[in-house]
Order: sequence, then structure tokens, then C-alpha cells
Amino acid sequence: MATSSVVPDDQSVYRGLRNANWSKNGRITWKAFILRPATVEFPIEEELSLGLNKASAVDELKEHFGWAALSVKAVHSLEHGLVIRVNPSSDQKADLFGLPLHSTDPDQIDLARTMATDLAIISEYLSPD
Amino acid sequence: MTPFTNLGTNSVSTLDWLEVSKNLKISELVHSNCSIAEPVFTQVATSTTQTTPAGMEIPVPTTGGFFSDLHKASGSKTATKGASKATNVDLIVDEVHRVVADAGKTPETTPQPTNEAVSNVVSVVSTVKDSLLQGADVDTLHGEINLTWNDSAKQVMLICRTNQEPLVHHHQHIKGKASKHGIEKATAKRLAHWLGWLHE
Repeated sequence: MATSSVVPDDQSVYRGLRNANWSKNGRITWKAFILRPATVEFPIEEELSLGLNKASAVDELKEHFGWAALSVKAVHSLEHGLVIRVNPSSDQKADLFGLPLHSTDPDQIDLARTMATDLAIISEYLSPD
Repeated sequence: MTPFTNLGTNSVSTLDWLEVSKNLKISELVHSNCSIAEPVFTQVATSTTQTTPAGMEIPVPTTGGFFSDLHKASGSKTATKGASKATNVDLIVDEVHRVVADAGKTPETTPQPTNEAVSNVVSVVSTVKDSLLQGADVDTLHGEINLTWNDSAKQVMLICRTNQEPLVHHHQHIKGKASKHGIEKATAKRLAHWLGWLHE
């Protein structure tokens, strides 16, 4: 299977905030960037879903609480080896690869919380329209 | 109705959760000026309960906080005279009750944290100097309970899960450089250390 293209550094991507606690006092929290464990309903989340625009970031959500806007360059500049690729099934969506999977290993938890916090710090909160 | 019922799906009862505190001297837990000799847990009677989304009933502390309830139940004159200002640990435990009762409604808050996760929070924070605990953001995520403290470029997080020792994560953002971070087993002493570091 061909690898989808990397989103260029001069673009922005958007994380739809599907939980109210993904932002607080006008700032994005680390919770917006944590991968989900496997559940009865869903398989383990392996990449983080993003939109290449605000509309596509929330088009599958019943409700949302705004967006986290991220500069692709800023994400790629973090020293975590994160990569944002265009979603192979939609040219309006993207996926963030490289986040640690949900784990009970403290080292993996450390990395996951650190990356999520770093992503939150470089995010800009956009309130719902 | 029995005063305590199971909080979650875990087999540990709320009474077992209280046993964690029972092994500790409560006067050393939260109120340094409190003259309680021994808390009488059998007399604790929470006046209200709350039904969780899973249909289970959990005790809800009355005004003044969970620890204040314990003080009242133990017959403490200090506590009954003036259920003065709620301490930070009271506020945290109350908030833990609230977020756990509210869990299970979204994929992020599912599964509901168990009694074990709750007791882990209580056992770690209850002996930390109260002023250090101020400003905790209490939340649940995928069955765990998280307490997060932020101060400018630093962050400290207490992570309490089921079947896992509590962890404390610390993070420092340094502009233009890789962030400093680490994780370790959470004890009251280590959490106090990192909360002290947060406010340096």
C-alpha cells in the first residue's frame, strides 16, 4: 500500500475538540492528544485524527467544543518524530503518526503525556463558531 | 440501605477504600490542628448517595468535604464546632467523587474508574501538605483518574489507575529546546517534591 503524502510544513491542521475538558481557560489541554485504548466498541487508536480545515475536523462529531489549531511545521519541529500525513480516504483529513499507544508501561505513559503536553502547548484554541 | 456501596465494577468495596485511610492517622492526613484520636469509620453516615451511569450508588460527601464528614463522624469537636473552610484535599476528594460519578458518558471517560483508582488518589494526596495541592484539575480518562497542576511552563500530573501503582509525571517546557520530563512511582513524599518544584 502506498504511503500517503506528508502534509507540508506551511499548512495548519485542526483537532476537533469532542470533549469540553480538552480546553480550559482558552488553552488546549494535554487530553486532546492522547490515543484511546481498545474498547468493546472501538479498536485501539493508532493515530490521531485531524482535519485539514475546521469543517472536516468536526464533520464526524455529534457535538464539539471548538478546535485546536496546529502549525504542521511546529509539530514536525518537536523532537518526537511526529509526522502528519494526508488521510488516504479523504483529502480533507489528516492523521498524526508517532504518538505512543495506550500502555501500562510507565516509560510509554511518560512519553505519551509529554508529547500530548508539548502538542497542547503549541496549539491555539479556536472557540466554536 | 447500607452506607457504602460499590463505586465501580471492581470488587473492592467503598469500605475497603476507606480502609486505606483507616490505616493512617487522620490528624496527620489533612488538618494539622485537628485533635482527632481515632476516626470511627463505622459511624460515618453519608447523608446522600449518587447513582452512577452504571446504576450503582456511591456516597456523596456533604458540604464541607469528605474529610470533614469523617471528622464529624469521628466526634471531633474541632470539626463539629466549625466545619470551617474546606481544605484542598477536601476539594480534591469531592471533585474525584463528582468526576467518577459523571464518568462513562463518553469514550474518553469510559470505563468508569474503580474504587482502587479512587483509593490510590486518596492515599497519595491525603498526607501531602495541603497548600501544595491547590489548583488541581481533576479528571478521568480511560478508567484512570488524573490530577493535573500547572504553573507557567511546568506541569505535574498524578495518574491513578486500577491494577497499577500511582504514577507522578512532571513536565517542563523550555522554549526552543526539548522539554524536560519524567515519571516515577507516586508517593505522598514524591508528589510533594514535584509540587514544590512546580512552584519554585
